[in-house]
Amino acid sequence: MTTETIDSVSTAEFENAVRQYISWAAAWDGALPADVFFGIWADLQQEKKPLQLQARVVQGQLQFMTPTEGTIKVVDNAIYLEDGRELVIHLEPAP
Amino acid sequence: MVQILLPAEFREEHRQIVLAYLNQGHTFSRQTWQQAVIAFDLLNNAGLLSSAGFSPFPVIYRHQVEDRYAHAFIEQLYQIERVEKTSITLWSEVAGKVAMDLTRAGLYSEGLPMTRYLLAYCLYWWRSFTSGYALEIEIQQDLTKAGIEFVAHDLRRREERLSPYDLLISNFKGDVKTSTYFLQAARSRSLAHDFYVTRIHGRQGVRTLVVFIQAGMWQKIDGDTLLVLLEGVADTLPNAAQIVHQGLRLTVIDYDLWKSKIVRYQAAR
Repeated sequence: MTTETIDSVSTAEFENAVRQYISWAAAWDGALPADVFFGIWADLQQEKKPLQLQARVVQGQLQFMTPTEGTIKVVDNAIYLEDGRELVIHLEPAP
Repeated sequence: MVQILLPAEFREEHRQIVLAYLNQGHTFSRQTWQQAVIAFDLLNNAGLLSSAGFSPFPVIYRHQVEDRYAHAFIEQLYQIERVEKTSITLWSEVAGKVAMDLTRAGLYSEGLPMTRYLLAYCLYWWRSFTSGYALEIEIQQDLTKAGIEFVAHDLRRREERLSPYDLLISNFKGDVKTSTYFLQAARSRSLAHDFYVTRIHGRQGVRTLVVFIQAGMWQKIDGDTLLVLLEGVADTLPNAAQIVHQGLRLTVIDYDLWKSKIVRYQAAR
């Protein structure tokens, strides 16, 4: 696969890519081959997704909201990891 | 002046795959398709910052593409029998206008290469949604022909398009999704409905519809299946197989076989 990105190619190359897309997509039925479809599904199940954690600042201290998924636990500004370690986040005033 | 904000997880390989998708997505392998599914999923969290404030990509897509073109597109599909062929013609007519519409709205500019992500996003999702609508209408027409009793939402009404499920058959809730959109859904949320219908290409390249059924519904309409790994399902079809997705047992079955079981189930009640 090319190492170019859509923001790095020239305008002409990008416009050509858009024309290409409209051309092939108009001739393609949108259905994936069975082995690709089930293979991707299997891969996605293995995908490591970042665990989202929401926090807010209450009286100058970080306060985590209880996560709705995953197995880590939070109490105020502390995060308890699955392996037993504890991460405590302290906010410092800007210099 | 506008600025495009991409999510932190959107890395270099995602930037590359978006361009590769435009150029040759139809030739993608399992690995590149997987990257594309993830990249376009991540772009749901991208946005555009302007003097008017922050606009997430999905909101811009809705205003600039969906609200403008979806109703007329769907209305025309309901009037015809050969849904798939017509849907592609209608899709390409709109796809050719998206860049101009975004430019007029001040959201896309040749001089701002980052705005290309917005255009690519809108093109991807317009294709994804239109294919989904076409497949849904095709299934509705087919279920009617098969004499299956069902309740389907009216896609011409936006609020019904956004309803959490597409079909209600004998109190079973189901969705109709294209194969790429199904994977996008499987990645980002749990598969909570009783059944899902999608279309894939079988072993000999033959197009086929398959249905994924939750254990509860499967027990009511049939019975035993063989438990296989996801990667082995392609070899098992059209016979029914059972797989596990995020701890849930799903049965995979050929669409025509599923229809015959539903006809039998409804006749017995």
